[in-house]
Amino acid sequence: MSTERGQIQIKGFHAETVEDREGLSEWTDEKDTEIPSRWVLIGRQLVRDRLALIGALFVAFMLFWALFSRPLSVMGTTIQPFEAVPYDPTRTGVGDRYESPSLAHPFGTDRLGRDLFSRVMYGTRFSVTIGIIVTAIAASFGVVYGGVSGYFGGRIDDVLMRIVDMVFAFPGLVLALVIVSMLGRGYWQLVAAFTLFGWAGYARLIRGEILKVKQNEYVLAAKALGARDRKVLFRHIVPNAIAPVIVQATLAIGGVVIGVAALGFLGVGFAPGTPEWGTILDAEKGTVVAAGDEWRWWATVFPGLMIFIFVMAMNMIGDAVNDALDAQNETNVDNMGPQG
Amino acid sequence: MTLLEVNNLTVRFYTAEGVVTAVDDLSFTIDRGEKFGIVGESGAGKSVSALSVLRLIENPGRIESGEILLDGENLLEMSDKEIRKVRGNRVSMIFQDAQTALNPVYTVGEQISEPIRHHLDYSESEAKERAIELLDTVGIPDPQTRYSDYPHEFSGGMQQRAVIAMALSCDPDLLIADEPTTALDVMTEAKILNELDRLAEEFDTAVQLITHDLGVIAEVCDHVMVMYAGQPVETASVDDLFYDPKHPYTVGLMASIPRIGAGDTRLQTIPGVMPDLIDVPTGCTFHPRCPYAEDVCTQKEPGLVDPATGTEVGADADRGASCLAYTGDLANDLTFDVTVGDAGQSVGGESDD
Amino acid sequence: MTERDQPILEVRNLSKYYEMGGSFVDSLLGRKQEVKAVESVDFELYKGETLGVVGESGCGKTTLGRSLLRLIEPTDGSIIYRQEQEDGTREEIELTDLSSSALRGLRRDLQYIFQDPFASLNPRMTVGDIVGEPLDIHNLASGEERNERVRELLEIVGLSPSHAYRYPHEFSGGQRQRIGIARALAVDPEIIVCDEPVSALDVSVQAQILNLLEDLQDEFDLSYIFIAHDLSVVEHISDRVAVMYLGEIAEAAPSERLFASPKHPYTEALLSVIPEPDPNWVGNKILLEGDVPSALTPPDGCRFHTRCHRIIPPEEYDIDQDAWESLRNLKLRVPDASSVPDLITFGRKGELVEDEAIEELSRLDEILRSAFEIPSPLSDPTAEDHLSEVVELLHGEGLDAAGETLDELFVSPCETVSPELIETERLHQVSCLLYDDEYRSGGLEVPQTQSDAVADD
Repeated sequence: MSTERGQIQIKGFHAETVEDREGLSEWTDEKDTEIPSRWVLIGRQLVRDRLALIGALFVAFMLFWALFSRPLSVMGTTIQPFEAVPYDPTRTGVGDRYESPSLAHPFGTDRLGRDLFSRVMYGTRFSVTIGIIVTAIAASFGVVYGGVSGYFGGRIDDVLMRIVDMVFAFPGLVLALVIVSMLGRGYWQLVAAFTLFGWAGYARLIRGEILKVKQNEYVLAAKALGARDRKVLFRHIVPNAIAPVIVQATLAIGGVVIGVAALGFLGVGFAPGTPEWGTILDAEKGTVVAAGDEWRWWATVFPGLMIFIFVMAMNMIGDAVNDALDAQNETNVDNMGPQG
Repeated sequence: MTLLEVNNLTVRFYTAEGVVTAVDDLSFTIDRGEKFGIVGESGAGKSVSALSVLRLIENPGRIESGEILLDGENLLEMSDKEIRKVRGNRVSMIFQDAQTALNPVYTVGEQISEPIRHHLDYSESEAKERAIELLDTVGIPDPQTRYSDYPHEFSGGMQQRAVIAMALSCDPDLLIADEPTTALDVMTEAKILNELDRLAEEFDTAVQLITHDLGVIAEVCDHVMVMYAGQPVETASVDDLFYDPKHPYTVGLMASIPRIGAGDTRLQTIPGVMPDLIDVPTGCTFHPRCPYAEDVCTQKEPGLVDPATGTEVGADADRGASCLAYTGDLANDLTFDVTVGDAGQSVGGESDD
Repeated sequence: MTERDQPILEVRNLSKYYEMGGSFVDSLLGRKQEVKAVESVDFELYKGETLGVVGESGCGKTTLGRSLLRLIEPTDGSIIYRQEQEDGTREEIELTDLSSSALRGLRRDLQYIFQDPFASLNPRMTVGDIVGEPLDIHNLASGEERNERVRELLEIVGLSPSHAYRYPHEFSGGQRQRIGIARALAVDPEIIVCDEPVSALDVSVQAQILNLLEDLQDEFDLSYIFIAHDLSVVEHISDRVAVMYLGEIAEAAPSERLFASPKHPYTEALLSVIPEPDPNWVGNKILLEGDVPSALTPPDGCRFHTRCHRIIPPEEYDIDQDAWESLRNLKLRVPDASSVPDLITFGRKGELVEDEAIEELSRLDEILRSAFEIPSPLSDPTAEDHLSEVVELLHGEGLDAAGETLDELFVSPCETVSPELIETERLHQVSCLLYDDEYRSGGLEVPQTQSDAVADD
């Protein structure tokens, strides 16, 4: 029995022996597991998830039409000369009025004898690109806005988030309607209308995520190294907080497409006659309401079906992206087998 | 008298990365009233060995083989209903994190009286009375008022006391304490260990204490088993283990702890890290880190043997070490020295069989 | 330890208060509470030495470490850093006055190593980028030179240069901690604050990291502030140790002296309870009463007086410390108790009693004394009279009246006077009235060296 501490001493356990000698066996403690990047993970999940794969194929198909349906020119120079649709979507009288679907006109023709297949396929260029552009702008702005708000916190956060609350206080579609009626019809007016209320959701989403991520010590570590706020925020915090935004954005593209179509259907989206899905529906709604002796279903079903398919496809992709990024978060917390 | 006997227990986890053999052919016995310590670093399989006793291994884990005998009854062959009667009643468990062990939406008192009502068929008021008594026993002042407090109203030490009260509520034969004081400050730790010690005497309960802290082992336990990479590497009485360690890993572990009053000597270390249990080294799993390893260690797997005779020992061995040095397979001796006190009086080490 | 004439870092009166309930509405209504996480801390750090800072969780040691580097803004106080100039002289820089851009520049000299090797490395950056980041920030190296430097740093901390292309999750805890150390070393700092750098690591790995830190200190002439709760680690690595309690420094002394003969009762108790990895060791463990009080409402006077086993009795009574400690416990518990039987359970020997058991005054007196271990009678007749009066009040009028009387009649200087940090020997500072001549009288016990300390639990 002793009251002195540190009585037991062990000598002669020389770690250097191990460091100096050649490895006795092939075994090493190096782990050669790699984590694939986010995009690889999303890609893998899309392949694994059949529904999402079908969705992705549909979206790719539509993007093809958006790009190749008609020649594309930017500021006078043609950058894409192909024309994949059989008729000029705006030319009237390529067939009779309301011709039912046939080989010549797969989706039939509309009330002015325009080829509906050409119109609907060309329409992807409006609907889908607006969805993507709106989401890209809104998400980028929202990420910066919410990032600043969450990172700096305090009074800045209070003010910025009250503005977000104000945006949320208006019903989004009504706000878009008001903006479009103020700015007039047109492609970029619609983009403006949808981004103006769309960013707020991303801002709020990433702010919450950033509040979590900024607790991590690597954020403090970057500050301790003397990194500027901009660098801390965009190099250390945002990349670790962005996953839910990617998921949200994927799901939101479909939402914007519906929104644009809704405005088109209300007659405030594009100029009448533009082959945008909602606007087509608006023009052809008479075929449903006052069907008369014959219901000319093709005039409304095909544009409606396109909206439906696109939104469904985006939701399936969104779910897959969500699963992929969720799984990634789990591997991040290092549950490499049981502890203890 | 033997209370718990674990024979050749193997537990595997089937994870996406591969098959993790968390516990590999583990045998030990705990006598009635004994304080049995399991020590090792994280990933050594300590917690899994404890959870297996209560059959609390969850997917993707599976108890592959072995038997766990509590008073001679094999727990692995019991029905779910029977094992539920054992849990919290004959064998109870304390976890490291008292905060998550207590459900935040029920009062502390309700949580303590629940197992009493469930296992011992007490009425509500009797259970409450017993719970209040228990709170008092584990050193929580004002137990009547505290009974209806919620866990968040307790400090960390108090929460752990409440968990101990819960564990003792049905007067178990065996109390498994998995790192019960790791999350606590040293002062609270001392008080909790003190309490645990006293209560184990008072309730005549055997304790299986799992910890990484050799100081805690020295203070509480009678018998110790050292685990490395899912396997037992040494088993000994607490005195033998500290004064006469036999396995190189035990020696390295003892040499690498800073000791107060030991002077300003450089710490000795065990190089490298514990292997990932998916891919363990061949032969002796400790060989990549062992300064005494020879070529034979990469091929031959040492069993738990009596270091004096070199013969294989079973679950109830008083002394065992799994090192080829004791079976005569090594060309050289294990050259370490254990000295006690300033005089440098040598008491052990230096195997020369 | 090197003791050159002037410390490299000098901290005076450093305080950090946090505001609680800081919502907009709360501040409008003036509903604010302050947590005094660190209060009026003084210390100095000399070139090449390691200053250990120990204390229980919530004592403010991490807050202290972070305020030192202004990773959180201190509320008050001064931090003087003496920066080495080209000509070898040192220029005083007041860190609390620096603009944030000047401070960013100074981060080259003052670095921080974090506790959690998992949370302190950005999972989306390669090890090379993590270690190279400080080089980029301060424009220390670029291109091939930068990569070369990264490889060199990885080798210094015992990793392979090929690890630069991997991500943090591919490494074990100890290896990650090495990456964190390499990152801190990249800027060639003078001072590194190590915040619990080994507490998340296993014993064998912990020893590797401690050795590495010691080697690096020798090689680069670093000064460390080593924050930890593990006293044996602190004893091993530190030249001097400061013990913190509730945001204040209770005692600071050279490591060996502090561990051999602690002067502050808190240090004494803390050291006595460290588990010793030796089954034959028998120590006198001093188990302190209760938990650490909340930093929202720290006790008046000496912050430790509510748990102190060497509390100074009031001058007017001639009673010993033990008896007074018992009386103090009684006094502190009365306001917490909801009824007289509850009060009894608060005592160290207190057990559950029925209401009927204490109906009689003499019975109550007996049970109360035995619960709180109060001698019967007290050695001082006046004190005995006063205590009897309290018990009568407790019996007749209840807790509130008894509490008021206790507060009036039994007051220790420790409850009212806040002790200064007194230098009792060179470099040995204690913040305890036992060492203040004004309160110190002959009969008081002060902590002895550990081996013959008086047990009193």
